[in-house]
Formats: sequence, C-alpha cells, structure tokens
Amino acid sequence: MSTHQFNLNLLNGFALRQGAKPVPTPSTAKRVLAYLAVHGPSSRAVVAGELWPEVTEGRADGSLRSTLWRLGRRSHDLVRCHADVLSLGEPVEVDVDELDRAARAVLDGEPIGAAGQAVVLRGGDLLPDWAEQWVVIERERLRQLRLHALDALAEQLCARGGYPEALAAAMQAVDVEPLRESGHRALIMIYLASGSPGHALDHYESYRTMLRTVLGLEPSARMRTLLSRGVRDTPDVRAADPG
Amino acid sequence: MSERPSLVLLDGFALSVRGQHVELARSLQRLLAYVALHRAPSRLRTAAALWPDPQAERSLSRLRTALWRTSRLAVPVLVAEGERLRLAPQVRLDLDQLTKGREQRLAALVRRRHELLPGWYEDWVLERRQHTKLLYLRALERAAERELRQARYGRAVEATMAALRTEPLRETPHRLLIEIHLAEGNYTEALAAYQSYQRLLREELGIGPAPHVQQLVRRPPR
Repeated sequence: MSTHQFNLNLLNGFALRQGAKPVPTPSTAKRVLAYLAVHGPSSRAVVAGELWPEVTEGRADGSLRSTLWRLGRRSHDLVRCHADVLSLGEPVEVDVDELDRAARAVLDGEPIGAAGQAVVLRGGDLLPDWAEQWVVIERERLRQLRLHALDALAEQLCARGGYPEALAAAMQAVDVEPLRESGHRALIMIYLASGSPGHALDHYESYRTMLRTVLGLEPSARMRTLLSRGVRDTPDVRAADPG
Repeated sequence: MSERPSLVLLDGFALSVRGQHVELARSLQRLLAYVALHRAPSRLRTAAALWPDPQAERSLSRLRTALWRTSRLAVPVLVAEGERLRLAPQVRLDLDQLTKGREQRLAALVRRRHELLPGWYEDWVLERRQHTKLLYLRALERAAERELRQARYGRAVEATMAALRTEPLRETPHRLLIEIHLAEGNYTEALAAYQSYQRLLREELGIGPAPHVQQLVRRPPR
C-alpha cells in the first residue's frame, strides 16, 4: 500500500517521494507532473502544446511520450492516460490540492480542524523558481486564495474567542503581503476584541507609517472607523486619538 | 450512477454509459461531436463536413455506415429524424452546463480548462472552440460579479483568476480583480493588480489600460 503511495510537493519547490524515498525525476517529467497536478485532467495535445510550445505538434507529442516513458515502471501509477486525456494517478497526493481543499473549506465556513488550519497557516509559494506563464498565474491564484482563507480564518477564530490562533492567521496574512490592508485590519480587530486597544493603536500607527513611507498613502476609511469604534468602546484609552 | 449516457466535449472527447467509458473509433467521435455542436444538421451537410468528397453519394454512404455502427452501441445516442440528425434526448452534453439552467458551482467551473475538443483541428471545431471559450469566460465573469456583490471576495478572485488563465489579456477579469481588491479595502493590492495588467499590455500589445480602468485606481478611496 504505502510503496505505491506518492507524494508530489509543489509548494516551495518540486519534490516527488514514494513513501519516504525521493524519486529522481528528470526536469521534463517534473513539468508534466506539475502541469497535471495544477490543471487536472488535460488532453495530450494541450499538455504537449503548453510544455513544448516551440516545436511542431508531432515533435511535442513525441517529447511527451518519451518523457512518460522515462518515468519507467512508475509512470503507470503517476500518470494515467485515458482516451487522449492525461491525469495524475490515484496514488499521487499533491500538497497544492491539500491547501486548495483547506482554503476553500475555510471560505465556505466549514470546520477544518487543527490539521486543516495548519495547512492554511503553513501555505507556501508554488514552484518559486519557475517562470512559465501558467505557473505565474497559478502561483498568484493560490496566493490570493490563501490570503483570503487567512482573512476568513482570523475572523472565524476571533469570533469564537480563539485569539492566539486568530493572531497567528492574521500575522501570516501580513507576512505574505505586508502592505495589504485586510491582514492589518484583522490584527487590529483581534487586538480590540481581546481587550488590547493599546496594541491596536500601536499597530495602526506602525502600519500607517509604513504605508506613508513606502507608497505615500493613508489607511482606508474602513480601517479608521474600525479603530475609532473599537477604541471608543474601551473607556480607559479614550484619550488616544487614532488619527 | 446515472442511466443517461454522458457526452463530454470539453477537455477531450469522452462518451460514457452508466459510468463506463465507451471506446469509439475516431470517425464515430467526429460524428457525435458534429451533431452535438450543430443544431440538428442535415445528413447531407454532416456527410459533406465529415467526409468531403466530390461525389456526394460517397460521403453519404460513409455517413450511413457510421450511423449504423452508432446504432449498435448499448444505448441510443443519435437519432435520425428524416433528413435531420440529433443527439438522443437522454444524452447529457457537458457543453450545456455553460449556457443552460442554473449557474454551475464555482469549484466545478474553475477546476477545468473547458477547452473544446483540444487537439482537433477541423474547421467546424475551431469555429466552435472560440465560441465555447467566450461562453466559458462569460460564465466565470458572471460568477465573479455574483460573488463580489455578495462580498465573498475569495471566491470572486478565484473566478477572475480562472478567466485570466484562459485569456491573460482580456480586460474584464483584470478590471474585476481591481474592483474586488477595492471592495475589500485593499487599495495597495488593487494598485499592484493594475500595474501588472499595465505591464502585460505594454509588453504584449504596446498599449495601456483603457481610461475606465485607469480611473479605478487614480486616487486612493477616502
């Protein structure tokens, strides 16, 4: 059972393992596996055309065939070919799928448990060194999906009173994209909800300074409202003016 | 498992009956695809498109052979009504999901490429492929607008990213992406999305974004 199980990791770089053993993978095979992992079942013609765009269709299909052949005995477990459609084999677990599933579940408001939370928190960049257009678009899709999942997770956890976990999620969002306001708003919301308006003010000030310095911009009206409401409702810091 | 035969033309040809894949000769695949993509075509037109021959009788004879072989499948998939050919009414066609009935679930919409019969180069496929691509893009953009209106920004972004994957230079998804970031109060993200669109247009076409797109990020919202 476990010997037939493959793990294909595309987050923070390519890695293919069978059980605990790394599987040596030629670079063309890496591209085929990554393409199928990201796009799901795809016709041979599309895969060949996308991965070998510079050559004739016949040559491209030949390259695809020899790539699959060089994966050897394992190729039947790794790649299925059905009619003229290629897909990853059943025994291949892909880390991107795991992140996708967990992130979507958060967005749908479904409970994901500690394991799912860990997946969203860990995240990772899709194949960071690959420059192909399809990877660039997919990387950005995944980054946006994770950012929004982190926003939603922070809000859900905060509403349940799980402040430390909520903070971890919001901090990850800020870490991925330091200038993006949603993450900072989430942090401020959590500080306010957990009874630390001083932290909220400090954080607002440091975000404002960064935004001014880097882009010459001001935080949004939404953020100022969030802060002034939150601080007003907390009597002992009423003196502090957010902005 | 559905009793109804299902005909898939997006991302590769597949016919299945009760969940079982049915192997078909390429000539029968072409016949089914042609009939599915044209509204009840006549025998003559179908024969001429699929088996062009100066002698019409020879094309028609090959069509008759193909129809006969189709009729021997376990379930009826094609019906001939006089001069007209159509899919049997119980056949479910995947293309219909892009145009008919309720909005598709977003997850199903974004996961696949929705390319019509990739690797087929007949003229009648190429024409329809472009049309199908447009239907797909519109379905994604409708989904993005719907999610944006309901303040479900993560899903709205997903739908626009799927549209960009299909057509990287199309303005509507770029504009929607900027609008989504703005609606979330993320002006810096909107600006980054605008700038990457601007760069792409300059590199690929040597032009800039349209004024109504520029307008979106002209100044930060107060």
